[in-house]
Amino acid sequence: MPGPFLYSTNPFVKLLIQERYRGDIHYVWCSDMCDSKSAGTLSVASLVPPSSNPKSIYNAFKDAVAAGDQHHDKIGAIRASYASLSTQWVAAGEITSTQRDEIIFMTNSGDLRIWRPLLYVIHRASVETRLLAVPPAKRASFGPEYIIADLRRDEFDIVEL
Amino acid sequence: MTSQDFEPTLLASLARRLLGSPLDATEAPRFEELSSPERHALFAIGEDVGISEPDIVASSKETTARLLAEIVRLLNADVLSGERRQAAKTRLGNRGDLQPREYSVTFGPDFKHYEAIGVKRWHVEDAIRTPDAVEHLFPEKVAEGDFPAISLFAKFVTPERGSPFVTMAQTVRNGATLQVATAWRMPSDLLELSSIDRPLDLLRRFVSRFGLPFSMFDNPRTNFIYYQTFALGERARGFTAKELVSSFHVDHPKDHFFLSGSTFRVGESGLLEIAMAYFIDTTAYQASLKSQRT
Repeated sequence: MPGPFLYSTNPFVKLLIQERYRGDIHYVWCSDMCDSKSAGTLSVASLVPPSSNPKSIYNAFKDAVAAGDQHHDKIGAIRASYASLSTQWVAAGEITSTQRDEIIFMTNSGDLRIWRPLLYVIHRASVETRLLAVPPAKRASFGPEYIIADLRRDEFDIVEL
Repeated sequence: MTSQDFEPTLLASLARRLLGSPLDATEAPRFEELSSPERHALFAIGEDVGISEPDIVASSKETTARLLAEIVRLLNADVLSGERRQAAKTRLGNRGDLQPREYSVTFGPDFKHYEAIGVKRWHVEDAIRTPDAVEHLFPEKVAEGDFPAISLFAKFVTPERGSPFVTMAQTVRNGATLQVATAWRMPSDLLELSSIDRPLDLLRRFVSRFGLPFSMFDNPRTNFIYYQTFALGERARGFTAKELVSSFHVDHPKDHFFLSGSTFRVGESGLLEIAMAYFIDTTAYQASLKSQRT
């Protein structure tokens, strides 16, 4: 039986961008467990691999920030994503071009602490009907993963470990 | 047509296609799934970075990563150099959205008064660069424009010798510059600190311990003003901010010195908006610090 919470790791810069430029609506991938390694070996949650495990992602961002690793692949992927998304948002009239410049500036900040990880603890009951199960072919493994495309700020708490 | 000539929306769409997680559930498509303009763009970009057409068609992970990096470089090129970059930095700085290390820190001539009571510049710079807590005050007023953009930075310091303390820097943001207005060394045991989550609360506690009562014009005495407006009308005309502060009446014990932590603006209609004002009895403060050391 799933627990009352879902967990998602996101860098601080993503929180900031969604707050400032996307009406405080958040797009997240999440899992049933914070750390799939702590799940019983017979549980499906234990099948979530490190690349999708919130705690492993948290540690990956934390290590990248501590090491000053500007070229970490997760950081690079989110940078690339916002470079393209922000261009599309401008084209759609959802943000201005100066706001896009700010997003690009932030994601390319010389201060890597903008990438420090945050753990979102999501109140499952409030999002249950909006959970999109990631199709198995698109998951990193067999463990369950979800997407919430329209998570509101009052539906999750933020924890720094 | 070179890769620089492609429409940003085409490049953005291509980047989205090549990206999979973490922000999108879609996987990178096979080459044959791309549209004709996307294929054309990908070949041109590949040529620029030395990737052959057969390698692009094969779509290996490494090739995709290199193509994606080049697309992102093209998308960001205009923003990350020159005036647009600086303008974005200034706007973010004004709003308090820059990371602490990206601000430049300046100390005004009055900072010598704080050095005289034991506050060190490097402690202040360290508190700003690597703070334990930051608080930007009056975000709504600042967004309206021309209002002092005050940021408080607090850092817990545990020295090898002596008592722990908190360095508190009160700064005013001006674009990507932070001007240090006041700075205090707050002994943690004196203030019974266990957390410095909200620097403003900490400052209030500090003022309640060392603040002097003061009054201005006909208003009641207080030891801390946190956003208050005063309609001064003609009385404000011709006065500088500094002259207005010196018109405050501060009740201080005989032979005690004090420092002001005031930030405000005077509107053209004679409306005085005090963002924050307090006066610290530095004689009592220093005596307290001294007794902590002995």
